[in-house]
Amino acid sequence: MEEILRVENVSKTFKLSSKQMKLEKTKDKKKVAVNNVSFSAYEGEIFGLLGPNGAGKTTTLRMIATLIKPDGGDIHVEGKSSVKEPVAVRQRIGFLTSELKLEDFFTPNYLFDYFATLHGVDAQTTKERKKELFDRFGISEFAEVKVANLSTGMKQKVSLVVSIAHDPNFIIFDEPTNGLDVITAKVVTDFLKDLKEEGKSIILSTHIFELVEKLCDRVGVIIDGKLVTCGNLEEIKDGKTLEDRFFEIYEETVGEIA
Amino acid sequence: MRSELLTIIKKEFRRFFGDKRLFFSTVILPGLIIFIMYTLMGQLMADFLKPDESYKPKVYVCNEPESAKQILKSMNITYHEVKLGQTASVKQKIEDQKADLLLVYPDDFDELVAKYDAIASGEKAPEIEMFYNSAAKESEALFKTLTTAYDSYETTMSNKFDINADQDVKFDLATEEDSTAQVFAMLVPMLLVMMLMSGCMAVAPDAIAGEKERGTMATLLVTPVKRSSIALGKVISLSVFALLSGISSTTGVLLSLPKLMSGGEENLSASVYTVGDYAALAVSILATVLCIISIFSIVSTFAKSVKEAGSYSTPIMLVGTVVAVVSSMGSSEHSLKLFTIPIYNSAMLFSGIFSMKYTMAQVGVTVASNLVLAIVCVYIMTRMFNSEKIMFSR
Repeated sequence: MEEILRVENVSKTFKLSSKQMKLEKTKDKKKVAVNNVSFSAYEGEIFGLLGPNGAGKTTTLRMIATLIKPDGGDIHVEGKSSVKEPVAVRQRIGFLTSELKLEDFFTPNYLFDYFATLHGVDAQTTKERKKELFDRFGISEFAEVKVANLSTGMKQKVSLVVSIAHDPNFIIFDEPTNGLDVITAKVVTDFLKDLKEEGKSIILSTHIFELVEKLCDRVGVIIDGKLVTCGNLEEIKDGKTLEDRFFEIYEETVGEIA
Repeated sequence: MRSELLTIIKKEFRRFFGDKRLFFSTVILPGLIIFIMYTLMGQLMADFLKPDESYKPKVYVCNEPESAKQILKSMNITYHEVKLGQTASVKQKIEDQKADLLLVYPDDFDELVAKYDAIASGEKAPEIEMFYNSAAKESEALFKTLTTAYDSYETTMSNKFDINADQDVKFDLATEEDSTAQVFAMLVPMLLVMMLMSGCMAVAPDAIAGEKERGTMATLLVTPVKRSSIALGKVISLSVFALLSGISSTTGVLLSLPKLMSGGEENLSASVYTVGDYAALAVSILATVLCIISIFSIVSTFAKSVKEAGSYSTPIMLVGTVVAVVSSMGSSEHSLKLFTIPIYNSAMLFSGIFSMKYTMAQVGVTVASNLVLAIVCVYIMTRMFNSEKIMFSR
């Protein structure tokens, strides 16, 4: 399989404000969010980044999406460096995270067209793709309703379709089912499976074991900014449930859970 | 870049013009409020200054000499004569606002005036005492009117020469245009700079800091659009909105200024200016708006929230206002070098245009200087959009 993502020795350190230092209960003015992480993802697979809150999953995904730059190392998406060619990387990816919001004033119809145009998609392709995605996610009847007036689940669906308006080959999902009701979560999970079947490559971060077991081909476990293990899902599980195996890895790395 | 820039501008336009409340509060409301406020202020001032003709003042006079009787009669003021011993009770009435004015002449006033020689005697001149109550509108107005009348009366007693006595001759050689221009040049430039700054301050924080705060800016930053296109698209579209807001406010000022200045009685019209003057004004306003919006855009990009952007923008607004006031107070002769100072140059140029004393060189330097600053600001904004610390810090 062709390598679609290569993360090489990537590190990221944040300066902490005094407020953040209090929250983190630390005297260190810096926090190493990602520490020398390396892994690859391949064409047509779903790669899961599993870890507790604050482990560095979102920071890693944000670096892949070029929203922030690594302090050290580099990331290549389809051969393009996120450090040296961020625009080329952005052209090749779709990024969905709860941090990215849509403007309440606009309708799904307008927003889809707007983001497709910004990605350089022609009008005819945009029209066809919009119909396909809107029908699939049940957005069509709300196409002219302002985002402000949509339900939380519908907003999440609109965010999802807008993030892949340009039909990218590589899609990054940060906690894709977080905050969703069970019905919408299932719709999103099924869609991720379909994307995989279409040959798309996906990297997702989550702390939900079921989601990883259901969707991912390969997994990377990230704890305290370090990638402690990475490989095929079944290899990682080692004949146990993913949850049990994760806590074993966690205790081996950090120590006993209090 | 051109296509993505247009897409961003179109989206900003759709957001602004599609939101009726935003459009009304930013474009219609400022002009409307200024027009209503200035018109009302003008009307109130006119009402205050205009004497109530139906009002019968309560005037008391003590020791009035024959020679002065004509003064109050000629003004159709009826009065009561009182004796010196009654003046204390009259003063109390004035204090209680039950009477308006008390005139107390010295005994044998005519004789004292006739004897008085200001140069030879070196003594204090005979004095008429005029008691009034400045807290009472009618009493205050009557005091001013009678002071003027008695000053004139005093002048007639020792009249050696007059100045401009012939009522038929036009001694003030200023044209109507000059007079109008002077009035406009006195107030409008300063107001115009302030209105343009208010317009910019009304739109920039929400469009940039607001997008950061709501998380919609990050959605835009993850697209392949160049940061320079985002910065330029924001500045261009915000300039149009701020310009509309500024035009609305300026129209409100121009329409209401005649009423504010004269209570609507004098002929004060903005039609004294030529098409060329208006063209110079339009170009200068456009360059000024670009310059101001660029400054506010940088501040809004730096801020984490609309509230923070508002608090950063307020001191800039105050500095701009002070600069506008200072420049409008200075002389009309300015070195061309001074027209390179942004905002200061705009206020000076507006003043020059409204007083019809400006040169095309001044227009050119002002426009060029403001455009250069706007370009520098867009470049800085582009760098800021690339800074994760500025765009994503919390």
